[in-house]
Amino acid sequence: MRCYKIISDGYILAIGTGNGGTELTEAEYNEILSAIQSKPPRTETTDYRLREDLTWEEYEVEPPDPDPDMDDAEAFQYLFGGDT
Amino acid sequence: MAVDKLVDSTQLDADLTSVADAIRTKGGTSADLAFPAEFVSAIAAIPTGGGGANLATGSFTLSADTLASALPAINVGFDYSTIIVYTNASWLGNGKRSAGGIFYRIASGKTYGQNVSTNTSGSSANIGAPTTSNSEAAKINYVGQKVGQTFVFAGDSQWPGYYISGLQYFWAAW
Repeated sequence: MRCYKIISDGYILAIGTGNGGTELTEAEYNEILSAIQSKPPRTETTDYRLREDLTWEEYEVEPPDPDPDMDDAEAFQYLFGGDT
Repeated sequence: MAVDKLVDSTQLDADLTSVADAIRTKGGTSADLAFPAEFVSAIAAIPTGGGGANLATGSFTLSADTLASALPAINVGFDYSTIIVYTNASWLGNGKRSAGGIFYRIASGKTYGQNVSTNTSGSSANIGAPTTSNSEAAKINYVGQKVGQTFVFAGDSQWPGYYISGLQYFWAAW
């Protein structure tokens, strides 16, 4: 089984098996997966991203918009409606 | 050649025939085999892997909530006849948890923000349509059939302010 990681701007964005990304050993994959499963919970103002050294970096996020321009159903219809 | 052992030739012939029959059955042949050279070559010629359809599988796990615009496109990189995707994600609309839905879509050789053809009838369907209106993550099993297509799991960059949470999917194609 080929394992890989996807790096973006010095952070581990994702891991996977199959094609793509930077190849990992299975041990490295399991180590990163364990780190992902230990992610600190997101709050309304902070979230975390995974550094390549498998430590979590806290960063600020914008608080929720109490009055979005489009509700979720409309957003999904806009994104996913229609045929090719 | 020196004689160092007496054997029962009838039994020996029966034993060799038994081995030759097994080789012929496995290799799907019927010709006589001379011991030992043709035994060896016949065994070497037997196909490996069972001759079944090529199967490719893969998985993907996001490390954290990710901006929609930052999701990578992953090229599965093969032509397939059938693909099954199991995926589990929550859609964080505008920074808050909102209706669950499957964000990733299988794009036939396409990139972000484009619809796909994903079913046998040839009409388009988007895996991303939500199947639940509550805040729980939606799960979907999808079976599509499109011969000769290379599929790309792609995110969508149309909503840069939206986050995807807990995206994980597993796929198999053959």
